[in-house]
Amino acid sequence: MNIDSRVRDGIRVVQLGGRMDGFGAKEAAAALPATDDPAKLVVDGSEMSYLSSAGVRVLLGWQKAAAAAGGAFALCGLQPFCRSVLEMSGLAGMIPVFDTVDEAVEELRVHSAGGNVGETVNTDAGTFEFHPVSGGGGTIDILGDIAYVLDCVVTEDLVADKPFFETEYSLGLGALGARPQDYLPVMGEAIMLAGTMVWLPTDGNDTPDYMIPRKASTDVVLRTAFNASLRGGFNEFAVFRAKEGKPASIRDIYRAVFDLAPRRRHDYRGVLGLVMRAEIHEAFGAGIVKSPLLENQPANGLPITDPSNFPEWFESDRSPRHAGTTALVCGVGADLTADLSGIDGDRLERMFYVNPANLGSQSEVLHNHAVFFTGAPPPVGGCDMDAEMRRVVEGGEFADMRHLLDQTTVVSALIAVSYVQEVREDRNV
Amino acid sequence: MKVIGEFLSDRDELLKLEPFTAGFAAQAGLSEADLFALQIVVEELVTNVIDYGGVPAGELAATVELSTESDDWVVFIRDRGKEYNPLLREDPDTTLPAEQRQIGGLGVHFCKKLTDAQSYAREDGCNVLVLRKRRSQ
Repeated sequence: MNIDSRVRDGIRVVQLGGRMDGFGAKEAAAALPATDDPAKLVVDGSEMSYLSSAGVRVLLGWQKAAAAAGGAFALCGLQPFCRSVLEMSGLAGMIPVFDTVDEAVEELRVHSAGGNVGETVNTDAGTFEFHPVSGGGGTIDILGDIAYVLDCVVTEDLVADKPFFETEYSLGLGALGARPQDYLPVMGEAIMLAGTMVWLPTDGNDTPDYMIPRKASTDVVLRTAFNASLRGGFNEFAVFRAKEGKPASIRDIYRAVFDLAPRRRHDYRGVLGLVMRAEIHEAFGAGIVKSPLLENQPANGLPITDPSNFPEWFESDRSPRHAGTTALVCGVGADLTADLSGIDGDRLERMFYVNPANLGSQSEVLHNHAVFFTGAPPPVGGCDMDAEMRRVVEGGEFADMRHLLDQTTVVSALIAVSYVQEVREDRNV
Repeated sequence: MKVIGEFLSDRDELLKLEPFTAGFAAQAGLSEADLFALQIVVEELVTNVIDYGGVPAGELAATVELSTESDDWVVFIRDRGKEYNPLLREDPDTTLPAEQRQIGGLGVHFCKKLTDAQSYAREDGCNVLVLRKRRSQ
């Protein structure tokens, strides 16, 4: 392939021209070894005519190397075919993609100019130290509909097979299993993050099923009736600390980021995707306890969240489930006080419902799932979310998985923020 | 119609795939979207055989037949690599530390996504894969 490497404003820009196939990927990898100071790297794909899995792996290697070096990696100018391959690979959530070289260079130059020195903002919830990483368009890809769950109408036809990707951040309702009779009766709360899939089967045992596919992970599918995935890369990382002796609720944290968002992003549209490694003060969780199949529909015809049905359908904490744990959280939120007209309203409604357990004013709707660990190693600091999460997964003791109630309180957290520009249909099925 | 190509166990052979698939697509009147899907499918599978099939360098690794059958295009690949059915789920490799983990099985995932039907057989010491896709309009 034609490989043209130059440095612009201190950022290496590599144009890869031609076919990034098994052959071209080898050439590209040799021309720019992952160890060759790739801290800030832009790959210009405007002349790339083809991209295969071998090419995707080289791009992923560069992305990982940049992240490990505390830098940033971005793609730009991808032609539609190469973009669709990237999306098919599940990496669209991990690597920011810009339209032009200028945008990519500008974002990496401006937002990583200060290295690890972040901007500190004090809020009612606590202190946020922001580290912008990219200006990529945050996206939520949605499958199915929360209404299938709430109206209790799930049938085999409404269940999609969602592949599991190592880079996936998503939440939803689903199950693992080979045949419909295996997975339909046990569908429950599910979350994917840090190379891990956890779900809470509705089999009466109240015990989450925990899986870390280490290889060939695209062969693992979640059977899901509703799923929301964060894609497009994170826009910033924030190191959050609650005020001394005053832990902040999940709702407080979202509210603070909502309130700061219009100043931080001119293109803010009222919707956030947040991924956190949070040190929990007190955890309040909830979980559906019966699979929301049409055949299980309540006799009174009301949604399963209706107060008349809620106690039978949900187990929901009134007192803290546990304290002092570490939670890995994936969530989405919409600010009801913001102008939401820039986001497709129908698709937005497919992600949220008002949980009766989340009483209080509804100035925002949130939907978060969490995996809890005990004995996790403390955060090392810095903004490598993937590394922090893996340290928790590998060094901590897996404790629990739940739908996370908004009143859960947090002492400190590393938060990855996606300022969502678009809610799309998930085509990665 | 049908075209047949033979590919040796050598990464340079991958350079032949683009003209091979593009030539077939032109003759068969395939759409651009079909050509892209066809190219990915053939390249991922042939690359797998060359990289992991264990065929000695320079020997015949895979024979590829591209054909059309009514409204479908069909990829038939026979390789002399070690017995391997890529359509089956691989066992997790628990020996790799996190830092070394890569997305595995991505190429096969692409092949499954981009075609409507896939089959595998082990015949006469060869792996035989057949992938089929309805032409796009």
